Amino acid sequence: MIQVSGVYHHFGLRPILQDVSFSVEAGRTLAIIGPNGMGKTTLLNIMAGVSSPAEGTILINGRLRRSTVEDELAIRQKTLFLPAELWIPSGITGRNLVLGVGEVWGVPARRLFEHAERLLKVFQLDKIADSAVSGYSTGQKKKVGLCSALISEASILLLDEPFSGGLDPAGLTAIKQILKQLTSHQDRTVVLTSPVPELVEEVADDVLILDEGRVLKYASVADVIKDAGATTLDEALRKLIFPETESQLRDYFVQESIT
Amino acid sequence: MNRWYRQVMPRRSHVLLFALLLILLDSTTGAIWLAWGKWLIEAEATDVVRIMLYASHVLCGMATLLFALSRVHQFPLANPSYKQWLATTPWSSHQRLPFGPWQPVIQDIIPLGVLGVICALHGVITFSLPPDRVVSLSVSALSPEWWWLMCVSVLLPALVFCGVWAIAGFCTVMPHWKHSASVLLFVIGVVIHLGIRLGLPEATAVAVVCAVVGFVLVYRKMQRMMRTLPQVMNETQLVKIDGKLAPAFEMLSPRPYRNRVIAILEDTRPRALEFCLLLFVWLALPPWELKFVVIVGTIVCVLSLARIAVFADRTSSHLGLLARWHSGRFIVPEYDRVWLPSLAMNFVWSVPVLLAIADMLSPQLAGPLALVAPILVGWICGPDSEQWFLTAPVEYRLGAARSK
Repeated sequence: MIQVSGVYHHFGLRPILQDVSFSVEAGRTLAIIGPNGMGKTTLLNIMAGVSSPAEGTILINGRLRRSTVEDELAIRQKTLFLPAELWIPSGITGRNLVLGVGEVWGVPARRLFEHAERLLKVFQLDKIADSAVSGYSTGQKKKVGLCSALISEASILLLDEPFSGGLDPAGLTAIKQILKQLTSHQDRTVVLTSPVPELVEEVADDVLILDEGRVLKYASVADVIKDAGATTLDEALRKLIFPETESQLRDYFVQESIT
Repeated sequence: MNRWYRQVMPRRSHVLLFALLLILLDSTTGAIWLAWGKWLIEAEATDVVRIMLYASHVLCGMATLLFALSRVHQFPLANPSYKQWLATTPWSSHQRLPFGPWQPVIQDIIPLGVLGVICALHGVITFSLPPDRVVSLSVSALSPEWWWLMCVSVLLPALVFCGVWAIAGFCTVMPHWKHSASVLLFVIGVVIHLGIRLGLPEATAVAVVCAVVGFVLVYRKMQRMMRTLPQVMNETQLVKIDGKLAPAFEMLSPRPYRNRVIAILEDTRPRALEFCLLLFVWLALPPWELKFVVIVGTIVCVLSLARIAVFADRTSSHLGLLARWHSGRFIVPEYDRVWLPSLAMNFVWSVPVLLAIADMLSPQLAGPLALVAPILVGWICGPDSEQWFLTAPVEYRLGAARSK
C-alpha cells in the first residue's frame, strides 16, 4: 500500500506540487493523468525516492520513505521505478540489462533466466537480445526498459509514461495485458503516469488527475466518468481540465468557415 | 622420487635453450680471445671480452629468475586455471602438488649449483683479465679477494632465486595478506631514512635482516595458505553479469549505489591511519622548504574540491544557491553535512603551515603534515555515504553520469 500525505515540492522557488495526498491499495492500478507540466513525473519521482519532497511524507507498506537505511532498503526491495526516458549505458546488451536488474532485485537465478526469455519473446526482443541496446530503436529501448521493470518481481511498480516512447501496437497490448495480470492475479500495485487518458482507461482501476500541482480528482475510473457526465475517460478529462477546449475548437471552425 | 625430482628440475627444453645460448656466447668470447687476445691486451681493449663475460652472467641471472618464477607459478593461487583444475580433483592439502612444488626444495641445489659454478668460472676469468690484473689463474687463486669472488659467484644464483621467489610469492599472496603492502613500503621507507641519516652500511645491514625476515614470512604465509586451499577452492562464486545497469536501476535498487571512489574511501577507512603514516614516511624523505609547504595548500584545495565532486556525483539538492538565498534557508543540515570534511581539510592544512611560518615547526615536518593531516580528515570524517545517500534530502540524477 502506498500513502502519500501532504506533499509539497518546488524546483528552486517554483512550486510544482501542492498538498498532494492520496493512497493506493495493493492490487490496484492508479493512473496519474493530467496536462503536460502539471507535476505527474515529479510526483512519481518523489514516490520512487528519486527526490525528497520539500514537505510531506510517502509511506510504502507502512514504511516511511527516506527515514532510515533499513526502511529505505526494505522499500526499495519492494518497489521498482521506470523513468519515461531510461538512460542505458552504451555497450550493455538487452539480455544483460534485463538479467542484471533481476539479479539486483534478488530474483532466484533459475526463475530469472526463464522469465527473461519469456519477457524478451513477448516483446519481440529475443532476436536482438544479445546486441547492444545502443543499437535498438526508440520503441525497442522502451520495450527493454519495460522488460527490466517486469523482471524485478517488485510488488510495487512505478512507471512513468509506460505507453509512450514509440511502443508499437503489439508492445502496447503486451504491457497492458501484463499489467492487468499483475494487479488482478498477483496483487501487485501499479502506479503509472500518462498524458493520454485513452491509453490508461483499459488498465487503470483508479485515476488521479493533477492540475497545477494539485489533486483535481481522485476516484475510480468509472466514478470519474460518471461524475463528469461523460462516456469515456478522455471526454471526462476534457470536461474537467480543458472545459474551454471544445468551445475554442467550435470558435476555430466557425472562423474557418467564415474565411 | 624420480618423478618428483623431474618435476622439480627445469624443463629439458629450457635447459637445452640455456645451454645453447651459453655455448654460443662463450664460444664467441673464446674465439675473440684466441683470434685477437694479444692485440686486445696491447690496445687495452679487453673490455670487449669483459662485456661478453658479463652477458653470460646476465644469461645465468635470467635463467635463475625464470626458474624462480616458474616455481611460484606452481602455487595454485598464482595460477587460476591450475587452481580451478585442482578444485575438480580429490587433492587435499596434506598431499604433494601433482605438478611439482611451489617452494624452494633441496633438489634446487643441483640446478642452482650448476649455475653457480658457471657464474664462478666466468667471474674468475673476468677477475684475471688485463689490464686490471695480468696474472695467471694459479697466481690469482692465492688472493683472498679471489676466494671471496668465488664464494659470492657460487652463491649468487641461489640468492637471486630466493629473492625473486620471495618477491613473486609476496605479489601473489599480497591481496590475501592484510597490511602486507603497507608494511613492506613502510620498511623500505624506514631503510631509506636510515640510509640518509645513519649511512649506507647500517641501512644495508637492516635491509639484509629485513629481506631474510621477509623471505621467512612469505614462506610461512604461503604455507598457511596451502593448508586452507581446499576450503578456498570450494567457495562458491556468484555469477556476475558484466556491464553496468541503467542509473535508474542502479540508484534505486536494493543494493545502494556508491560512487567507486567513495566505495574505496569508505572500505579503506579502517586503514586510513596506516596509509597516512606510510605516506608521511615517504613524503618526509625529500628535503622540504617553506615555499613547498605553501604549494601543498593548492594540492589540498584540489583534493577537497575533488571530494565535493565525488559526493555530488549523480546527486544534487532541489534547493540551489539562488533558492537558498531567496528562501533564507542557507543551510540544509541533512544535505550539507557531507561537505563539512572538505571544508575541514582546508582548515587542517593551514595549521602546520602557520606553525612553520611562525618557526614553531620545521618545514621538514610541516610539509608532510600539511598534506597528510587533511587527507586523513577527508578520509575518515563525514557521514556514512550509504546512510546519507538513502536518507538525506538528495535528488538523484538518473541521466548519463559525467564519469561515463
